Amino acid sequence: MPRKLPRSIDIENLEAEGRLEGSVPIRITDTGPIIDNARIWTNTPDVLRFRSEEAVKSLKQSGEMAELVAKSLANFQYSDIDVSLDGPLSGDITATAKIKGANPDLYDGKKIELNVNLHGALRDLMQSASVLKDLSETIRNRVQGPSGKP
Amino acid sequence: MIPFLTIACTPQVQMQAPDKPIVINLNVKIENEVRVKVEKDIDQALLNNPGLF
Repeated sequence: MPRKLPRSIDIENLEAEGRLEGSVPIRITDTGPIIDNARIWTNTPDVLRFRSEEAVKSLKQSGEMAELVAKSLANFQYSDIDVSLDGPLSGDITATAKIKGANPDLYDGKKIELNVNLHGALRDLMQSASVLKDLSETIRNRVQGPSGKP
Repeated sequence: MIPFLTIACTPQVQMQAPDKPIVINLNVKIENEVRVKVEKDIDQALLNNPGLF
């Protein structure tokens, strides 16, 4: 199912091809839904492309190595992906991702192993992104009219 | 209007022998902050036209 997942989660500048396997168990508790040891993986090689100037800028501020990650992901031919997710949907989620592969445009296609540990409120981040998208749309519509003309 | 999505990273990289892969370990802590900065003249326009939005 190429491209369906990136499109459905609406991440700008993300293109991906391939098929993922796994399960995302969600447990309903008194305090809300919890992702309970979700795991998504593939060992069928394919491609992942994330080309966002804003992300590169943001990662540049975090250091040279973070910038290297952004450069790698610009055209990443992966061989293995293994992602795990754990935590409350309304709170801080812990996610780990192990992605192996190479970018043919970087260091002559030398193998790269990317291990990411992520912790934080993923949902808030995604909501903010959608609020910002709506906000700019609202302003544009008010100023120019929905047809794009003032 | 300037949106900021700050991501704090603690990256670490290991360069190994030529046949070994480049290993990049990245710890990401999401610190989500959105700042909306309204320029002064726009601010004034909004004040003069409260019904604009």
